[in-house]
Amino acid sequence: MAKVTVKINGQEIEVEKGTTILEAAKQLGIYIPTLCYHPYLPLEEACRICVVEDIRGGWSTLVAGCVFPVRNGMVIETESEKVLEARKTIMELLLSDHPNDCMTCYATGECELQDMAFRYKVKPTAFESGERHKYEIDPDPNPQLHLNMNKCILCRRCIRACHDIQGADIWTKVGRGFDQKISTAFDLPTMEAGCELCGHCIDFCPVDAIGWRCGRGEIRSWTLQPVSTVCLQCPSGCRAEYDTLNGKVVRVRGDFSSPANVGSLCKMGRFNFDFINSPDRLTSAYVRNGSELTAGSVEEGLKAAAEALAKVRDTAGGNSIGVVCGGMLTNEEYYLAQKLVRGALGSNNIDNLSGPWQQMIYDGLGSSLGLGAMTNTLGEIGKAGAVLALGSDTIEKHAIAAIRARKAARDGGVLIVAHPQNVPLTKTANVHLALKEGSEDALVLGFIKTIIDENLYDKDYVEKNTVEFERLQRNIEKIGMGELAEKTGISEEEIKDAARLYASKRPACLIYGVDPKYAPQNETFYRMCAALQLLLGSVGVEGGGVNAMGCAGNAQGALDFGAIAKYLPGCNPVGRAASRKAMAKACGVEAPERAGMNWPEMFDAVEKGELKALYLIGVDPFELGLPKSKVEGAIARLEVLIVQDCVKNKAFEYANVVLPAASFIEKEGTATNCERRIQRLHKVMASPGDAQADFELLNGLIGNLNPELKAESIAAVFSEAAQLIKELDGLSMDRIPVEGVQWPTRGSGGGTARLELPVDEKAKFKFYAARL
Amino acid sequence: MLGRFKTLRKDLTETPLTLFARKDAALSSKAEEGKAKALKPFCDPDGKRSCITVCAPKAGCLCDAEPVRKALEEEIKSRSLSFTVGSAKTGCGGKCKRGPLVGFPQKSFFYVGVNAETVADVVQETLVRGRILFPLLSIDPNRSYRSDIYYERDTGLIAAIDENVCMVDVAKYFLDFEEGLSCGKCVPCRLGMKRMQETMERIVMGRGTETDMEQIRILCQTMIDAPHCDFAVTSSRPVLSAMTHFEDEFKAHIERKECQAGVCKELVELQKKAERRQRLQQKKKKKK
Repeated sequence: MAKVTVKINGQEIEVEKGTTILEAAKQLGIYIPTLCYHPYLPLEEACRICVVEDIRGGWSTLVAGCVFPVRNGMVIETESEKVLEARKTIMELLLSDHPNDCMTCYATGECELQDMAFRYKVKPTAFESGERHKYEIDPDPNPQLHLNMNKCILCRRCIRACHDIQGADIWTKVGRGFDQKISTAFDLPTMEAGCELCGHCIDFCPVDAIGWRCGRGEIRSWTLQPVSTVCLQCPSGCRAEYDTLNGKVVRVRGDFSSPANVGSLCKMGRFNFDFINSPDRLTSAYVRNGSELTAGSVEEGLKAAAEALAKVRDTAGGNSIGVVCGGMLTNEEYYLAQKLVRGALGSNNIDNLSGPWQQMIYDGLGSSLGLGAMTNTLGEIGKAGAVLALGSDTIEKHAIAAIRARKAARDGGVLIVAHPQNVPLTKTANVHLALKEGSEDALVLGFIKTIIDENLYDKDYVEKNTVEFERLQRNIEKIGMGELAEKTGISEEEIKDAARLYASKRPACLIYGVDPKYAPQNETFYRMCAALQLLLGSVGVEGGGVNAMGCAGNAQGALDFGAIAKYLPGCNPVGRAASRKAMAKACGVEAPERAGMNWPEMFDAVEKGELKALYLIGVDPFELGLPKSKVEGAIARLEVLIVQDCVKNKAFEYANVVLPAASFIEKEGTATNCERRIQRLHKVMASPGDAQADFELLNGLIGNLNPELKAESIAAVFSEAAQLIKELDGLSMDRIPVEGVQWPTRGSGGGTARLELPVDEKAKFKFYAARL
Repeated sequence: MLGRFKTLRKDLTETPLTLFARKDAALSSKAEEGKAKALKPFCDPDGKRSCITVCAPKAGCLCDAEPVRKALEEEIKSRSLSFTVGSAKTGCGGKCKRGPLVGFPQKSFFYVGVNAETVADVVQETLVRGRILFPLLSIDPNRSYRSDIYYERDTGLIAAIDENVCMVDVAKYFLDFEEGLSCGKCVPCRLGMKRMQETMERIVMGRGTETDMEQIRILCQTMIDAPHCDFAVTSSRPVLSAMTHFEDEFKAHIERKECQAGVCKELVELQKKAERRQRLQQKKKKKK
């Protein structure tokens, strides 16, 4: 890139050509005020507050610093008299159509307009008699957005956020001149216009025009202390800033420094914190005395739980105890839970909520690509040429991937959405394939078949980087297109057209979000996804890959740290003696050889009477998607039920011991998101009452059952686990940077953003036979 | 100003406009030679101001004004016309690149860049036949250099306005028109125009204060300096131009609350009331 020299306020700086004046000034540490500009939004230059004086020889002109690119030899003055006069007038004009009720405004203290007025000492009296807008306050029934368009300064950040970040595109400018306002098309209520409740417009609003409903009338911005931690409600692993007040979360904002979400959050992450603030939070342990649960200290609870588990273990054997972890635990807690089961209870009956599916992702992708997780990063989805979104309602369940897919479509890519319903993502899709529930495998085979039949695949790539292509080729001929069309419920021609469209642009990116209801519980599907991507030459390249995402917050961490029946930490099979030996050597836990049960099997076993005790960590058994009668029947047959959760869930009534746990924002530790990024969690606030982090509770239980296995600290547990997980390469917790690190890590602590192309013969990607 | 335009326009409509072409002129002049004497004279040779003038050069003048004067005099003499060639007061410093200038003070227009060769055409076409030779007429496509006509290509507007039009009202008219046309993107245009219009409204209603004019000037300056596009620049220009060239009218509106043109209704009402009061007072005095 060519370099140019500019002089700003007398200081010279050399910057790259195309840099804006604002960026150049930032490098020099010179402040230029901005209102409509936001570093994470496209440029707009609507407010003109950023004007700077561009001095050229005998004359000068004012240019907008936020968009104007520097020119060689440019001379800029940022605070000259001409600039200040213009800025002041602009501020006066802005304040002349603003209610100026800072005394009662929600945004006081964090309002950018207020700060600017303070900085330039502008009073709202300049055009006092001028007309002001008198829109209705809060006219919209939106559950999360509080609208007061009288405060709007028309910076249009909301329009850009809605268009360029979320892609929902509901906000627009209506009218012109003084009567212009921010509204939806035809002034529809936001929900009818297609609001997806992502809340980005609130986050970007510099004033309180589009404001929060949560905390309105309660909080003052300076009393809040935002702490950034990882949201564990979905596997995207977004970092979010939690504003808390008196032990309650009042609002959540995206953390722009996080590479996974870059400031964006979804509906869940931003607004779903009621369970943390819930009045049903468990604040003490409960132990069943006869028919009644009596509250007691955590120590008593732990003791009672340990005694009950030990009793079942000693009488009916370790295999009659099952432990199910929820999706919002930290890596260390998963590790401790599997240690408890394998070391202290003597079985392999440990599973986590997304275990059955995450394991299939690992099995399928691991065997064909050598990396059993999402191959690329979430950010790279936005760089894809063609995106195929399969599985869950992506906007709801895996929102970050969905908004990146929309970005790819906006930038000229192709977006194909396959979902039985008309989900929000179809709004921006080129093709919507309304396939039958759970028939994604047939659809993928249809794509593969079309691509092979019509020779649309990348022959050089296949020859160079893959093995056993003939196997798939031979095999796919046996499958008839008619059969696939019948299974998916989509006509042959439609599948073929979609496949041609998908193959038309590279890199092709496949997103698969696990939806527990329909997701196939076999690895073939994932192998076929990998095969499809390999045919298009899109594995190991930027913007491509097989991006399979689990269905729970820390699903990847749970698999990696061994909270799964089939694998020891590091995905070492339990059945293999060498891996059991390695584990015994590393932490003194001798895992039993006998295979454990995953959680659906556990519930079946409870019904059969084979499983006598169940320890649920952050799991509500009635929300697992199993029939209510089945769960009720199963729980009633249990001898011992230990419930450990942060709120009173429906299993509370049936429990023998209840342990109060902390929510995920009250924990320290690490979590791994779907793109394999290990990030550190930070404690946002103290847990209510006696509630303790799952780590403490699990550690206490282990201490009661087998004191030798008790862990010293979270960091020690992480280091211990890192010894067993070869991808972490002996990583220690304090070496994890703020932005996290993506495994496989290299010794020095650097991560791997995406699966690379194979370098030697052994590591070549593998095709598997197609199976329907 | 308007009077001059009116007569000029009348002349032009009465005599058909043809762009000067030597061949045609030669043909037509022969054909019409007989009728030429019957034509109404172009101007009055005995008038106060001379019919035709040539700029009076100073020493070291770049243009050949003196040969043009001689040629003109000879041409007039040869045609036995009674015009005298006067000298135009140009204040030329001797460096003018547009000279020599040939003026027609009675008709209020002038030619620039005349040379000795074109003199014959000037006399035949303009003095005898009363036609304007457009190629010689001084019109700059970019900007007029006449101080009494404000013309700019950016605005593309020449407004001919007589004494019956109130300049404040004109400025307000432009603002009313443009206020609704702003796209609403940048603040100087969206809000600046609105506030300016409101201020102007106040002045027209007779509620203007002294600060209002300053307010408008500041807003105009911001709208010229800092907007996103040229719309704000060009729409503030007429206002600024009206305010600079007709400041007294604005001041009359604000300080004396009167509209000389009698256009601003509210002010006219005020004026009438004041007059009535005066008349009454005078009557009372007389009675006494």
